Amino acid sequence: MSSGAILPILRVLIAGIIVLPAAVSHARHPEWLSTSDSLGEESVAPADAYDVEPDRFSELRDAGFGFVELVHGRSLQIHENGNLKETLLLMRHFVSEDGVRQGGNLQLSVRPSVESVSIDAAFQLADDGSRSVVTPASIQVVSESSLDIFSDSSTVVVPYTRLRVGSTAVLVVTRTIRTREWPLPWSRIYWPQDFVPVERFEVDVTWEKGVPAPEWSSNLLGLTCSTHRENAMRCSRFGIEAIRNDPDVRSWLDEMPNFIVGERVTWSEVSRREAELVEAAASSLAAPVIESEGTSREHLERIYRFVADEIRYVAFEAGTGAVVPRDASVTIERGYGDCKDKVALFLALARQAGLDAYPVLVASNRYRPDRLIQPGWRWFDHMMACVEDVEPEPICVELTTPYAGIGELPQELEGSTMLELRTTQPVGLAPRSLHMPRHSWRMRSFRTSHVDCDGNIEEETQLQVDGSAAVWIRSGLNGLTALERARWLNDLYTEARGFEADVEIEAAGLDTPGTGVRISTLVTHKRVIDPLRWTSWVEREPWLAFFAEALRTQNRHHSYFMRGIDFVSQTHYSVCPAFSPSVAFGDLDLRTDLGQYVRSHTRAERSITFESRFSAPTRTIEVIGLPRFSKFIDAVVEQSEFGFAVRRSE
Amino acid sequence: MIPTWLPLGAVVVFSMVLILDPVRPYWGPAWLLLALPVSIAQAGLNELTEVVSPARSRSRAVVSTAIITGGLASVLAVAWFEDWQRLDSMMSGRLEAGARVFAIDRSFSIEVPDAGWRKLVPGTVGDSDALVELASADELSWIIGYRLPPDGTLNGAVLARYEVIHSVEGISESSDRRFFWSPERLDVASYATYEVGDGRLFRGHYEVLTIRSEDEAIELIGFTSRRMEERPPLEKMLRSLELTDE
Repeated sequence: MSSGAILPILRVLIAGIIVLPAAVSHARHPEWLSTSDSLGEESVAPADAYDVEPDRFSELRDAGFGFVELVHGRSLQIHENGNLKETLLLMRHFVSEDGVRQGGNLQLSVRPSVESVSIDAAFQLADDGSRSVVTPASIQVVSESSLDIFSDSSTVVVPYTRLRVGSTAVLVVTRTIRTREWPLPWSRIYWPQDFVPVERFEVDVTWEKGVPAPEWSSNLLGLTCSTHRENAMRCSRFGIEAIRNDPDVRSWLDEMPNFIVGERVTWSEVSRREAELVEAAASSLAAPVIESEGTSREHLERIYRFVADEIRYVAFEAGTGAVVPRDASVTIERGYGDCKDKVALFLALARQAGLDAYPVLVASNRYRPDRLIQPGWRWFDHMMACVEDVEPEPICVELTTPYAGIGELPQELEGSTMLELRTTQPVGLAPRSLHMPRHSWRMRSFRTSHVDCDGNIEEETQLQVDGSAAVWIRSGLNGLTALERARWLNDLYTEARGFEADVEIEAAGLDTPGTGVRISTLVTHKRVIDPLRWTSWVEREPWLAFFAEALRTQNRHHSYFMRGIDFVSQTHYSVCPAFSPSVAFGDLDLRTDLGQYVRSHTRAERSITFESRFSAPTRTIEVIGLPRFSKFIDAVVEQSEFGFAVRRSE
Repeated sequence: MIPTWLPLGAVVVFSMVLILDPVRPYWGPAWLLLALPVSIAQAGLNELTEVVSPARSRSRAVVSTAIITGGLASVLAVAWFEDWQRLDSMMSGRLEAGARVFAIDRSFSIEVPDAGWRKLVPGTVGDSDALVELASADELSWIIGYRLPPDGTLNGAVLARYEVIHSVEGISESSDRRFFWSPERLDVASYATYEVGDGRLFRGHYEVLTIRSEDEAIELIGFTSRRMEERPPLEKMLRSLELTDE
């Protein structure tokens, strides 16, 4: 499973709004997609769907919404032959021109290797009662492949071309899913709440006699469910408010409630089923590939670097390739693979070296294991490997990026939800979180500034960045040309410093993951000091202030996840023998439960050295605490300044 | 005889003016209330004069009325010129140990740790915009409290004070430490000390507490020219600051 394999599907289902890329097919539809001869069949829409209070739509428009989902209905039939027949009913009412522009296409994601889709109805109703039917030829099929990830998953887009304010778009689609062609237990995850209001959400599930009753769960508040026959259940909720938006939400997937229905399995069963697939692929490598001398740590380092650097990340996710890894021998021969291919190879090599390694499924954009409300593989979109007995705690490695070192993870994976994959089933196995460091951003800044006898200041700074921030910088800069990289670094410096300067700047450690990234700058500030008279001026710790600023949030509705930061800084000032330096202000002792910022200085006859540390541990800040958190950041940014004075010695 | 309406009218006029006083608006209503018994007394005095002592006592009544009215007017004048502080200082004399001294707008207060300090009229030692001033008995130590402009920064205020002190008296040693004045509200405060003078002819020691919160910005400056071992507990006094809205 690649990180790109599942999320796009979910996003398409959730938002339903994307701009169509150029690569679309026309008119002739693939064989897995059919359209009904009567797309205008009005009876599919519930008659009472339009029973909305007259003022409701104007209220929604005034609240800034462009459209509203009148009905989001799912009807799932489970057949004895293992097929699922899922009917989707969407009725979207438009209350503004913006809404028409933003939500005028309805769409769904399809995995054709195991699914076929029939569009049963697609029409629009104007507010005067007139109806226009979508032309089958206008229905588009768009590939979901992206850079380095190739998939047979497709998005079916139904454009509603005659929408006006007051129109309602109606779409009915039946999807047939052949679960027996899929190697893992089936499950369907629905998203009843969205960024627009949903007036009515309904789920009907029926199963044929002889079919085991499915398991279902939901964390949508107020959902009413009933089992109205021996083999049928129905859930519904009216008037679901829109999810309130915020700029810094760690995971919308965690925030949004789900309805899941699927085969009745345990987490251990899910773990075992996927583990067997991975272990089968890992066992295919016979001959040792990696030199086996050295300590466990050295073995791990060599194997990790080989799989991360020498095996290119390319994902072919068609069919069951989305969840079944290739044999390790195939991957090593081809020299490429996706996350699970790399994991299988890593496991094979690690075990040859005597390391205790195992695979883990990862939900790369989910951080709350409790939000995985029912066992199922569909929550996950990624695979990693972990190794025990090298360090006191297991080390989990990300094999799809060459920019991370042992113990470093890209930011989005730190603390994400994972499930260990074990062929033997430990009791109580359940999803948990990957390690989230107390300080995700670790930085050291060393600055020397020399004030010469003409009052110029020559400033040399070295910023060492470790942890996930180093992975972020490394992966960002390695994709750029030398010119782009220089421009990026200059922009970064200007933003941190607050002014443009003729600075020599370079980055090191970009090609050596695990060693941190070092950004060095050299700049001369002309005539800052009047050499003839007493001069005071205010300096600041620019990198510290820059990264503290980056912690700010404008969230108003949702809690804020703050990645921990540990910034240690030393600033050394020396002055020309004709001068004598003094400190106007600069010592700090700002300690709070949110973090601390401390600074002290030592003074010699011709120099002053400041030592400071800004440290704030990883934490989630609830909405009620956000104003106080902002104030803490305000204090840190303002107090990143310190005041100097220099006078001519007598 | 003085007509009853005359002192009543005078008090009412003064009271209306005093109501406009932003610092002590309660003075106006207080004087209005006072005007009632004065007017009643004046009316009674007039009546008595008419009945009991038509000729000789009339002049006495005029004198006594003039004294009452004049005294009242004098007190009002004191209030009018906002010189109550001086009167208060003269009346109360030295402050008791543990006394809490309020700024003239009562926005903050500090505690006097030991006897011997006295409250000065703001502007006596510092600028005219001082909100509170205290001096030690020997007048070698003093404390001044200011409200800072609302749109500045803490660093700007501290640096400005540093530059002023340096330009006037020359700073030989200094220290400044920042801390959260209120751990809950996360208001940052600065506590700075400055040694000034050449150490021979003149030496002085400043301690400055500066606090800038969302709705208040206060600077307390303590000074003493006493030797180190004889210095009053300026830091204790400054750190006893309490903002009234806290």
